[in-house]
Amino acid sequence: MAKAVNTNAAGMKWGRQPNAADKVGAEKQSGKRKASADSAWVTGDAELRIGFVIVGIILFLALLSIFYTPYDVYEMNTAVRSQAPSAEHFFGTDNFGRDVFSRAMTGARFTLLVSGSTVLMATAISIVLGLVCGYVGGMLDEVVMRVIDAINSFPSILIALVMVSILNYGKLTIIPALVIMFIPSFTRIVRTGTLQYKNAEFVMSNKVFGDSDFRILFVHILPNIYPLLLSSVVIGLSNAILAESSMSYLGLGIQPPIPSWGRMLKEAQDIIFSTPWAAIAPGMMIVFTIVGLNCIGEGIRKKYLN
Amino acid sequence: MGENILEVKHMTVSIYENGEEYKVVNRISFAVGKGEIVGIVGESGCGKSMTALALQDLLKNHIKVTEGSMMFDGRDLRTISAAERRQINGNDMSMIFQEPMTSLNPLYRIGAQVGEVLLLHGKHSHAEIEQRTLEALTMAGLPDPAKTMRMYPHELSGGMRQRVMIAMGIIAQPKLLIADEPTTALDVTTQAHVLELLHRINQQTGTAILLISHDLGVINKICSRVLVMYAGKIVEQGRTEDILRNPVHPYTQGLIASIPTRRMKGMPLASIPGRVPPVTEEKPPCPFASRCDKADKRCFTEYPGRKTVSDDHILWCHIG
Amino acid sequence: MRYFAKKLGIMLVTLFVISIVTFWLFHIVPGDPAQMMLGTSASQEQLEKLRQELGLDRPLQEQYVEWVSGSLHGDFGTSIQYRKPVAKLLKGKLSVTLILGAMALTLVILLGIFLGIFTAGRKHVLSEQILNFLNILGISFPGFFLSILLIWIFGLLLHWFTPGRFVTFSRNPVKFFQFMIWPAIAIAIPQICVLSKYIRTAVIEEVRSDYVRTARSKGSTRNRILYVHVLKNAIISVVPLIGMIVSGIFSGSIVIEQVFGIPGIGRLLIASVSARDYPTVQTLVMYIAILILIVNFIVDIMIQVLDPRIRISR
Repeated sequence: MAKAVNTNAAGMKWGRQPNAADKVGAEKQSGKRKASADSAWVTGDAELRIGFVIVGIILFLALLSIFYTPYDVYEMNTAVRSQAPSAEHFFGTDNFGRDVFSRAMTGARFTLLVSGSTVLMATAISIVLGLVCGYVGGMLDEVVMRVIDAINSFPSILIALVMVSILNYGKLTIIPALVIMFIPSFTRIVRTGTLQYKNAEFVMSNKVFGDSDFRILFVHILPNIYPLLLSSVVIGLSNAILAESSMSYLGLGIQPPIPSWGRMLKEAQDIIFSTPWAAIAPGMMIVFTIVGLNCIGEGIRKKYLN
Repeated sequence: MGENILEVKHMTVSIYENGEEYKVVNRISFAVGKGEIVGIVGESGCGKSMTALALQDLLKNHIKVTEGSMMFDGRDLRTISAAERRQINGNDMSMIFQEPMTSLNPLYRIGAQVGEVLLLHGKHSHAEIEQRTLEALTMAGLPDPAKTMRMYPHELSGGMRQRVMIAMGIIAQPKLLIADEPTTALDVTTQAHVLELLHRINQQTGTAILLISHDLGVINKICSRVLVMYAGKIVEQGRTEDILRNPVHPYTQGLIASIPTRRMKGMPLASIPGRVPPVTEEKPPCPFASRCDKADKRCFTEYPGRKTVSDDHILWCHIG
Repeated sequence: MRYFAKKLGIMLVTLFVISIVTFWLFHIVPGDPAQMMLGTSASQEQLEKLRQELGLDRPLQEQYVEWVSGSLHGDFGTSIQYRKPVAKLLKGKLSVTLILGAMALTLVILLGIFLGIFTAGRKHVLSEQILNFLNILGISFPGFFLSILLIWIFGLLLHWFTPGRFVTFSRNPVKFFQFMIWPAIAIAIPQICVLSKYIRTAVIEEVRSDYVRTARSKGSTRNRILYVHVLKNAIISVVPLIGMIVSGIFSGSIVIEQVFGIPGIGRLLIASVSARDYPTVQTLVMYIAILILIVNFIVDIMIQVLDPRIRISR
């Protein structure tokens, strides 16, 4: 830079300058390399790695449970009641002699299924709602945002409870009940992103070239919102797991006898003195999964949004 | 010697970044006499503000004074304890900053913030603090000081806030007032008023002032002496009229040429080509050499030594 | 003053809208309350009679007006599940939940601010990464699992309290608080993590601001800068979060009352939802809505009082 403005003779004579500059640059780089060990935390790579490993393990167990579990999930075996964790039973057995590890694996499947489909549905609805509100604006936007504000100010679990109580009981009532919980925050993010890019130059130019509103929304605006939306969706997924397990704990989630982490805890609560592992195992599975997802969310945020 | 309130010798200020040390201020020496107004002038990025902040120990964590001494009123500011430092700051040496809009705490009334200086230094009764706050605000030229005391910063304009900062700076009657670009953020008429005010304060209370500015025109209005700084070094210093009438260093000449004057009305304004090199860049022995149209080989190989132009006019340049 | 009146007006309008939506939601649901109360064996005549008694045969607007005016006089209808006036069911429950919430909020505010400032210190023994990780861990524990762990460790193993043995305040205040502190802790922990992180970020940000430099230039001590200058600014920036935190505390309380067996409105709500006891659920939803609105109103006023910039501009 400084070189570029050196038009006088004396400046040209300062021949060592590029070398010196290169040297400083090289030193700086090596300095950076030295610090790379802890800078993975700064770039978010460390969080992403930890998160993916944790979530990967849980996901693997959940998928595996479709084909194989060490023991039958429902079989009660009085011979092995309330056994502490051992080589045969990783997480021990409960007071009915059921293998806690197998149940936790299957529980992972249903908990992830419910929270995953909840977040997917909420994301799909929110993308449409957010894009339209942000793009069209006006009265529609005003009304939708007011409603969203109102929903947001309520305790999230209360919304889910109201939904559960007015929807017909079914195996999967929990899903629409939880979807409502996540629409406000997702919609807000999409809407804010849409407002931000709606008048951006590249969008305007595409408009001039006659792209349809639909194309502008989904081809030009939406991809720009992805990183922010993605980190919120991942965090949302962790909240969905929290909510799903709370609801199953309360007996309002997936109905028995399908195991879910929340209900396993409910059943284990009364026997915690004699068989604490029956509660700690599903509890720690929940904590683990949520930590993993939060790490991924944080990692995405650091990597793509700063 | 006893006439100087501040004597800085070979002071170096360094920024530490990515494990590297960069010198922002490079072995500068200067003095401010009691009751004197001294100016430091230079483009932005020359280390003027760093010098000022170093004197009050307000540098950020990664910036440190690494060399030299700062004798203030007989004590070396580099060796005093934190408690002694707190006694000096605000009481014996105060400072006015470049950003009047953000330098006041938005949540406290003006009176409380100005009076806080007295609260922190010595025992004063509540009534006394209020009385002296009122006096300071009056002296700083605020139109309705009693009302201003009860106002919050956001209710005042930038010029008014800077006057509040000045009131805060003079309320304890310090021996030295450092004004770091006090007029830069203000419009032209307010600038003139604030400079007049600083001059009057100096006349009435005998407080020495170290005025920092990028504008030689501002310096010229009230400073009796001026230091010209470039890329962390003082390149020329002397009495303001000597420097203005007879600038020797090519950088000073460039600065003077870029002041608009009435005589040159309609003519294009001269400016120095290029810009101040960033601190991270390695510089030739004379830091100005790469921008200097008179530079020769010596400027790139040898450090320019100290030259005396006239009794108080000193220069660091091979050419002049 | 006009500002308060305006806010109060908005609050009442919001309450009105919420009441309509709530009422409407619970009256479009499939299922006949009369049928639910009497069971499938009831005759058509009996059903008709009960419908008339409950006013179910009249137009929806009339029923709404009836419900609102009844509510204002303390008549919230009849619980389907318990065949009792809802008002009777609520007796004593609201205060238990409010005390629990207030205890949790106190913990959140005190510990959140303390930990926020503590962790904001620049030369800290805990590195940024460890703090971040602890924070993630803190918000990752579901309230009910945390509660079960507390019951197991402090109740069953250490005998610091008797699990499942709730004692009313009027019977034994000391035992009441000894018991209630545990659910309060379980509710508070995730919120403490949230608040302390915000405070920490806010303090770090404020410390960098120009007015702190001014304070140092005046010769303020480190503590004075932190507690007089920085903290007030940092707290103001997190006051708007109080609404969110209180809402989180309610969420936590609804679940955790269940774990600890505390007879509050949370537990009643779960029981009523499970039994599809609409009049009770409806009343509880309105109760919670009113509480949330009041909290938001108080937060608005607090911002007004604390922040002179907003005070003037409105």
